[in-house]
Amino acid sequence: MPENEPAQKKIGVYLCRCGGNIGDVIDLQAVADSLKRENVIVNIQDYLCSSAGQEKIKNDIEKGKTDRALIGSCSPKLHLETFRSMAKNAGLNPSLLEITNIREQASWVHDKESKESVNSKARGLIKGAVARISSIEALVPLEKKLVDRTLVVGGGIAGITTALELADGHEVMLIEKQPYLGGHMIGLSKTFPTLDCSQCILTPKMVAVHNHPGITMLTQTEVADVKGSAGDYSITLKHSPRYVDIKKCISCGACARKCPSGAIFLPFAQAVPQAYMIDMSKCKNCGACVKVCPRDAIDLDAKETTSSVSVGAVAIATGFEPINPSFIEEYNYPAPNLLTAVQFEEMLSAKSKTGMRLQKADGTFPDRVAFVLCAGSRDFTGRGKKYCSKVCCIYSQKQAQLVKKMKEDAEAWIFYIDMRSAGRRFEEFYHHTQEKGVNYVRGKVAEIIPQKDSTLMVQYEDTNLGMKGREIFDMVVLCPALVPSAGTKELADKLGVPLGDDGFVEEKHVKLDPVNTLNQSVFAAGCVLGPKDIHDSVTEGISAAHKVSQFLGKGMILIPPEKPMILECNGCGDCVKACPYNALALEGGKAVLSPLACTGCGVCVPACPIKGIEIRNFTRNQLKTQLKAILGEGPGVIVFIDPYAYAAADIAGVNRRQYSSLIRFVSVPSIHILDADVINAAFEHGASGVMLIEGTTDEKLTSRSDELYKKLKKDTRKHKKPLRYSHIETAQYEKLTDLLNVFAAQAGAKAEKRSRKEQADEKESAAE
Amino acid sequence: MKYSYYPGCAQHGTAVDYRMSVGAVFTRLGIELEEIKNWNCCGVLHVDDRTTRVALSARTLATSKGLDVATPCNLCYSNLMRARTALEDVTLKNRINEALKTKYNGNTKPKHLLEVIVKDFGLAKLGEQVKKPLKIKAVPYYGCLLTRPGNEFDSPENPMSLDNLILCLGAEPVRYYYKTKCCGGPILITDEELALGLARDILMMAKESGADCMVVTCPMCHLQLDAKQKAVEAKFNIKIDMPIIYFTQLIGLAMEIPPKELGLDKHLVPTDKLLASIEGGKNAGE
Amino acid sequence: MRKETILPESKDTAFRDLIIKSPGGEKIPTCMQCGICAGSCPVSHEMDYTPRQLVRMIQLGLRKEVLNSNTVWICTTCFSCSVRCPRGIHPTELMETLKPIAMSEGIRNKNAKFDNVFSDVIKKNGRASEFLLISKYSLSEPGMIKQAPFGFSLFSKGKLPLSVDKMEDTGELDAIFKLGEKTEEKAETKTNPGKKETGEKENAEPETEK
Ligand SMILES: Cc1cc2nc3c(=O)[nH]c(=O)nc-3n(C[C@H](O)[C@H](O)[C@H](O)COP(=O)(O)OP(=O)(O)OC[C@H]3O[C@@H](n4cnc5c(N)ncnc54)[C@H](O)[C@@H]3O)c2cc1C
Ligand code: SF4
Ligand code: SF4
Ligand code: SF4
Ligand code: SF4
Repeated sequence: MPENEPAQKKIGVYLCRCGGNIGDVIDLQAVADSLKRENVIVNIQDYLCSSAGQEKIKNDIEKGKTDRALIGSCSPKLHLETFRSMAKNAGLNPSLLEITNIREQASWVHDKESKESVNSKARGLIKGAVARISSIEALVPLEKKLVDRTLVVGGGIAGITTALELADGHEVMLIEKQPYLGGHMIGLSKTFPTLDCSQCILTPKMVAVHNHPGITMLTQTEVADVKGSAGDYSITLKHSPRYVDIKKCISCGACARKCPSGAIFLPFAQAVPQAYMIDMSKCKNCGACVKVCPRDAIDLDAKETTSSVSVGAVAIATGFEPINPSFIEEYNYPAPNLLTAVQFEEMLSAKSKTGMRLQKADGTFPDRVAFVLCAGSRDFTGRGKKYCSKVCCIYSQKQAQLVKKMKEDAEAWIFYIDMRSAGRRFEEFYHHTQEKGVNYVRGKVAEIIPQKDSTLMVQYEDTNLGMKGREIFDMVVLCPALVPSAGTKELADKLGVPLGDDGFVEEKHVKLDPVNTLNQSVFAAGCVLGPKDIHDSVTEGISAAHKVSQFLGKGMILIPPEKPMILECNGCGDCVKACPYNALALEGGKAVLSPLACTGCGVCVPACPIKGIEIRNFTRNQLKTQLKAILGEGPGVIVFIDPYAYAAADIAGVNRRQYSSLIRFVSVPSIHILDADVINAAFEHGASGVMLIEGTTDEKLTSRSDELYKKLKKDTRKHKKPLRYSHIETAQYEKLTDLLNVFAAQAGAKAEKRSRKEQADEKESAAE
Repeated sequence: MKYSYYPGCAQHGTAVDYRMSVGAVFTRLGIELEEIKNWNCCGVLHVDDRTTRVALSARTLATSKGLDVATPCNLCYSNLMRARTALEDVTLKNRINEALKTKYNGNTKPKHLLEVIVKDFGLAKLGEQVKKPLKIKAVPYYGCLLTRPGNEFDSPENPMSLDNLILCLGAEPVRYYYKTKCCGGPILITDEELALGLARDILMMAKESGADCMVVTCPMCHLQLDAKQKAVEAKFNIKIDMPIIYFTQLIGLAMEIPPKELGLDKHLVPTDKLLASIEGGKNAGE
Repeated sequence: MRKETILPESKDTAFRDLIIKSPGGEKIPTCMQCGICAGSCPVSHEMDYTPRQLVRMIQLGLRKEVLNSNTVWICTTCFSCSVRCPRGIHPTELMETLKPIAMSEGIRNKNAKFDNVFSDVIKKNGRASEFLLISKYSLSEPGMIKQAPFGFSLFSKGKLPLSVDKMEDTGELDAIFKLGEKTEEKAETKTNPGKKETGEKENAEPETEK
């Protein structure tokens, strides 16, 4: 080995067996052997992430044996940060350590394939990564100053808690879509498991938000647009008109007394903010209220307005909503006296319209009440939601207790499949409800048939007895599946935050990073992360506040250094026009980059007519070298994948969704950095097909994808091999694997046809 | 508009009234129904072997000369639809094709006559043919198999196509929660007591709704609810007296086709009172 | 039927696997015993085991109980259970899978008899004529004679032709019905090897429906 040659890179390859997770499937020794001629040192460990494993790499770096480290292990989304900070401590530039994913993308997903095909894939991936790591340059992340202000979206208990916990140290803006704070909790009666009154424990918190000097609270407000990047967002807010100035209104009610159509009102007595509002669908525009208001607070011509705020962090706390149960046709919702549990709660809450009395449509008390659990939850047919909504088992017992409390000889029946009362104090709550004489029936209600006299017939099987039953009730309460609030998806897309396939915000790590999202400056708390009770929503609100404060406390945010370099420029300005983020400008006839505005999307790369722009560490040549090495170990399908779609592939791996072992992922910051040069190289080196998989929801990019794809297709046509583009969001991992399988089969079939034809041609020419 | 027509066994037997009304109405609407030559029974629910039953329907679909297969019977329709799904399995398809002279290729779709009228012909066009809006209240009864399992053309729990048809003919469909409940037909012969009990629930619900008649789409339902209605009354000691009308008869009445031509005199539950109220009393008893 | 203790030997895993592999059976292991199938079933109160219990017994492989229960014979094939099952299980398909297996194991009751008569008529004529069916079935079910007045009322309305409706050419029927024989053979050879001795003895004298 020419050790004294300083330019020689000393690459260390570290392969992880991950217990047996990788080692049992992939022959790592064979991978190591295949690297013999590559002039690298190879080391195989049981668990690289353990302290022993890390110590080994650290030692090699410190002793000068390694100056570039390549790790073959689980997904970089899990441990890249850990390994890189270890490398930094050992004195290596962190960007010179990379991870190749041979677990989620190989050993976990090819059960159905031959061992050899998985092994050749692993060898290819590692070789490609070795080629790549020897070609990259050491980069230093850029630093950007953080804006010390947080936007909390959603004024339910989770958002309120996050805001209050943060506000002593940081500036907070809390926005709420409704005209008042409190979310669902302000519409609750008593709260399980202690049965304290919801408004009694919530009102002080709402008032505290209102009065806190560090919190700007805006109701009837939503996010309209998000600009900027992590740590420095400029957010446009949209405010619907209330027609009454909150700051001026003193809730004297003079207006309401004069209004001829009941259009001006206080939402409810305890509402925060305390101010009247107008329902324009009822208003006759007579101006009576305007004249009578002593504070001149009313403006009938108010319009929707917008404003803009710059923030460093966002906390999403947009909560949940009950699914509309009318899709469960056999329950015949809506019908008189057939309500959802949320409607039941509201009748007995601060928002009550019946004077906090439980009553049927005719105003009398219901003597027989049934609670129907799992209405739309735990359904794997696609009709309802797969998941358990978690709180209904317990709140329905609470509601049953309330019925019994209001009238001792009233009957309350709970129809359940499994009574889920896990957690501190909940089994006692269950027991107590039984003691109160509530009737539990184990069986999912089959149908609810409204009767002429506005009672309801419930048909079911008592599964403990194996007997069918029919019962008439005065009131039936459906406990609907809880789903993310309408608009969650749009908001998450604007913020670049992926959702799970259930529609709730995806956590950065399900267990270990539960209130972080995959966007480092966006956090979440409460039911937007999945159905839960108040206790857990509050816990998450506190956690999110802590995480935000930790994030903002650094004052700086590191941004990835993989930015464009302008190597050659003739001043044509094409890149300036192309850049979706206004990060390029012509100065003195040359293109100049403002790195902080640049997101590294790479749109400028193919835009430059003289190929003068390259993204650092993702240059055309670097990608080509990597492709050549990957395909040197046998043919495959090259799949360029962006970080959002990469996360989908990870979820597919965790769920062991099987797909063809011909698939070779090549990770790119965005598919828009690609041009025909790179794709053609893939084909030339033997790829049987190429896919571009994009997961970002940023419209500035996705709106260009079609055009990019068409252009690439045209410019790579000569190879007659399949090229495909697909948009896969993080949640769509099932779609992803289906797609990979179909494409791999297509590409395979095409390749076979080609080789048969070639053979035939050869024979023919031989015959001639 | 032209379909291959698969009448099903009942059309040649108990459902002579249904057959008459289909003929009368479809000819006038200009919808051509060409009966499949040498058609075979679908196996109903009594040919227990699944492969054989799928094969019986595969033969029907294969011999339809490339036209969609229209059928008046819920059971036939459900069997054809299920066979079509089952035949997506290529191994099964190949096995069955070995037994068939004309091979099944999956190109033809089964359609219930109700679907033909409501979807293909269209209610807007049908509305133009209505000469005498029927000012009556009618129970829309679909039966269990018309939309099951998942026959895509309407909801399996709360279908609306027949409701809409009734409305289009100027009559009022009553809110009826037993639309897709089982009439008991399939077990009529082997377990009459149970079967009559099911029919009773359906008829009583209809009666309570205050309707003038009940509209059906299937000869088996008709047999059970019309021909067996007396037996239900006797067994449970109740009075029902509910005329059971095929939807094609209802269309015919609104088009002013003479009741006799629609086979309305062949019902076991008398239809004269109903006809009288439609005619406004004039033709009572005809 | 008297209920027995569930013992290790009462569970026939080959039988269970056969059912789970049959059309619509693959989701049976995910049944959560919610009971919406049985609650929706118009006739479950007449069954000795409700559809839910039948699914449970399949999960365990309680072959004897399953094949002797009257459940599959009472089912009207209305699909109420199947369209509502939150796990996508099709109890209706299950009934249809079980019928031929029960018959091939010697279960004979009036429903099985009727199905046999029906199949024979179709095999021979290709079409079902009500009159022919009823008269043939009456031979084995004398109670049917009570239906005579009903038959007459239909006849008087021209609704019960006495002629036999027949396909013009019944040539293909043999081949079609042969398909079924093959399936039945397959079913038998598959469950029998896994069967325990005791099971075989009991099945020699199958319990018929009361
Ligand atoms: C019937 C019922 C009874 C319950 N009873 C109890 C109980 O007794 N005890 C208990 O502990 N838990 C109970 N719960 C659970 C409890 O309601 C929740 O844990 C709690 O409300 C969750 O708070 P949250 O802030 O996460 O969500 P939410 O309460 O839903 O608040 C979210 C807020 O965000 C706002 N918002 C939504 N989208 C946007 C947007 N795009 N922009 C701006 N704002 C937006 C909404 O208007 C809302 O105000 C019950 C739940 C139900 C359904
Ligand atoms: S919490 Fe209970 S009622 Fe709600 S979905 Fe889960 S199991 Fe069903
Ligand atoms: S990488 Fe994207 S954001 Fe950056 S300069 Fe190029 S086009 Fe603009
Ligand atoms: S409905 Fe489905 S899940 Fe529920 S008990 Fe029946 S088969 Fe099992
Ligand atoms: S298909 Fe059979 S088991 Fe299912 S609900 Fe209908 S009668 Fe009951």
